[in-house]
Amino acid sequence: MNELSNLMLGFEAILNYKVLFWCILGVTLGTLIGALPGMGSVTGIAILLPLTFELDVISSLVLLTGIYQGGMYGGRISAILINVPGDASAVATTFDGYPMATQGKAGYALSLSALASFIGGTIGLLGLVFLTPIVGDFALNFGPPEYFTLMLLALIITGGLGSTSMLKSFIIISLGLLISMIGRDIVTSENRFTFGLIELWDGVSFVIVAIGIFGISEVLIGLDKIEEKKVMQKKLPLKELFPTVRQLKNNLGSTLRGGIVGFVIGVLPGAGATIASFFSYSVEKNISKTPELFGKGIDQGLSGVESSNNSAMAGALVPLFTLGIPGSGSTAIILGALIMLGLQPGPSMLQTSGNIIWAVIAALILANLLLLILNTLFVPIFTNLIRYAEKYMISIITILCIFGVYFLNNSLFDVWLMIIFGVLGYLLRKFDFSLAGLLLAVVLGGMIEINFRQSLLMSGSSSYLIFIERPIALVFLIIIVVFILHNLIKNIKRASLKKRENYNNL
Amino acid sequence: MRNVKRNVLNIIVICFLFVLVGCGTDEQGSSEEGNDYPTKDITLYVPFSAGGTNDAAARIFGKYLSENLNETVLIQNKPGGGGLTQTLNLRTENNDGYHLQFGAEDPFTVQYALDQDLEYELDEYDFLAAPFSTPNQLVVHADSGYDDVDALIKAAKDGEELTYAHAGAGSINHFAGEATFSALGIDVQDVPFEGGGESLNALLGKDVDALLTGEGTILGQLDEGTIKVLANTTNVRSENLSDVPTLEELGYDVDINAFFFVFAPEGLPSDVSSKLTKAFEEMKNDEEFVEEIEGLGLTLEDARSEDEIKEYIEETREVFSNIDIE
Repeated sequence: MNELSNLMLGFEAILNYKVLFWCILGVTLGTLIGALPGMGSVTGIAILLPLTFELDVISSLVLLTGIYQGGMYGGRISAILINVPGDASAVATTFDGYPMATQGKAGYALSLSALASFIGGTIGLLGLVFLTPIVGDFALNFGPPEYFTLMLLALIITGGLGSTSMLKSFIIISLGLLISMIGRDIVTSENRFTFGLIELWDGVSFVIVAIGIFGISEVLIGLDKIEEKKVMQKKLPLKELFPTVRQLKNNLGSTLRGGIVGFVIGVLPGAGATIASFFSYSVEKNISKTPELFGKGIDQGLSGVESSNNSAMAGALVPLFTLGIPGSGSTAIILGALIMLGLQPGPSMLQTSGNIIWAVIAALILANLLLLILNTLFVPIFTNLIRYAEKYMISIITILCIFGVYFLNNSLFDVWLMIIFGVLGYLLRKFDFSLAGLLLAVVLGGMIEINFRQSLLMSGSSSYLIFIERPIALVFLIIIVVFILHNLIKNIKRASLKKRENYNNL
Repeated sequence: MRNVKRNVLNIIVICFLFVLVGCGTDEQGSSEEGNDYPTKDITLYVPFSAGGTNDAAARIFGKYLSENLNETVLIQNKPGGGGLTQTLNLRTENNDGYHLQFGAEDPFTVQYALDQDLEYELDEYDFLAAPFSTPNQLVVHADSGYDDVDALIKAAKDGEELTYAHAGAGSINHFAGEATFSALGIDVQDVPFEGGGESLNALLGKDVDALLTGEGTILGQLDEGTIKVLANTTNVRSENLSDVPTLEELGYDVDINAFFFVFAPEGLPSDVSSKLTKAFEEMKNDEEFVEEIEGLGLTLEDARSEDEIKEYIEETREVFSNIDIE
């Protein structure tokens, strides 16, 4: 096993007090920064990048990857506790994580998701160690037609998330798609819906929409209720904070599935952890015997999602190490750091700088373990914190949201935009629309459009045939058709069953 | 009663925060310093997000500038509007030498060609230096069978539907591509991607026939035999790709470069600007600095005066305005 001996050399390089110190610092900072709304690993790495100039190559990479991974763990904390996703990949964590917290199971949700994150991260890292040579070129099979059909599939199978009616689903998805069209068109360079504001040229950031419609609307809803809505949670015995063996067994399937889905999607540079988490959520919902419990605080909705986004994090490093192409915003910053440290990212990086890359991979494995321990220790702290801070919660959420969004681009305009989306989110909640559907359309809309147009530009005179001529795209199209037919038949059956019942009742 | 009080408290805190946001951060620094400049931290604004070539170049530049001046240089990323947002905002900063900007030429040349009613005048800035440039390269996949520009021309003339990838409509790569193919006299459909990395991915995946990109994007591929560089759109051969001919050498009238500028709000005290330009020149003698910059695929440029930089901007605007990117 060549990989194993390489990995052992990697561990040898990092197992000393100095590097260990930077690893612990990295994961702790990463978790805390990730826990702040809007501040994900991208911001964390960007803020701490200057610190690495003073360090040697291995220490700085260990610090950065620690933050990278810590951000993934941290993102779930605010998602679960205050319904504000720490970063984009934690949006799906709010779906079942926050309902669990409102039922008084915040501690349980935190520890379950930490464990799922660890298992997901481990699956992803195993994939990174053993499958990198095999799947290295896999990403190259994905061009615009493949991404278009994949994203379309994602929108269709997850589109109805949390909605009460078909009509409302359509309205909310259309609204989301409209928001995704704001900005400078990258094909024609014309401005769309920018109202003369340069700040809107780059479009509306998904994170701003997410924090606005989840965080600020939560504040407004909180202000609505002059009567105190919740009784302060009683102090929970420690053992209720952690899952039992039986509960772990119930979550094993969803966690493993999430890990695999996360790795496969994470490897694709155009998709990433956010898409992976949405996919995992809809897979769990579609195969569940009790899909109606999703969104109301079901374990599998949380563990699958957390496993998948952590696995995707490791998967995103595959194209970075094999092709020199970053798979996500935060791997782009790691790429920048590699360049600044004098490494030349590209297909030969594993050969020319193999010792450093394997040290980084070893550091990731170590960081994953440290993060599990750290986050388990955090569980009682955060649960108690939330218990005492509950009465000031809406002020705290407001502060965190404003800071988080401001530091995204150091822009006040973004803060105003977030407030506008907060009001929109408040109204949508009042009229019982699904916020998840809106976010999904915002995140997928832009990608669906650009990949569709790139496909048609590429195809020349064969135009739409490109989606059928390319085998992977064709497979996705077939899955879409089967999924729609399956649901139609299910609905028709249900309708006729109802009819018969009505008939029998007569 | 307590609940009502608590809610009132919450509302007050929130209102206060919103007011705070409204006030913004218009802190004014004093500008009485002169000869002893610099005496405090210098902020170097980067109008692009962290992680790209621009950011990496700025951080390297900032690191060595800080060593030279013996004062901290803070890098602040302010992305948005293709670099234009921060470029406009810079005009309201103090012209005391503590607020500098570093970035690609796009807000001055590309944006002008896209939209000639820009809200700024060139005179509103003091251009201090154009320290680096990055040549645009015409690249094909190694398996494509195109060994030179002529092979590409022949394929197009034989009726093949060719496509090329670039980093987005209105990017400098896009202008370079349209200028190149119109000079070659062939019709090649452009496919815009979001950034250099994605456009390289499209070429490696053989989704497009060619790629127009800055040298930094392809450096990692050079020794792999995955790609072939056919021509350089700048009129000087590049250090890293010394065997790649320029389009001018091949007999085509194309010369498109991409510069990085360092500039400040207009009216910098002359002793401050001369101290800065002196520092920039001294940095170029540092071998480590040169090595790090060339590692990004950037070319170190000779010193240019402010007038020469403005002249370059005017000429480039002229060239770009005549390129039809529709």
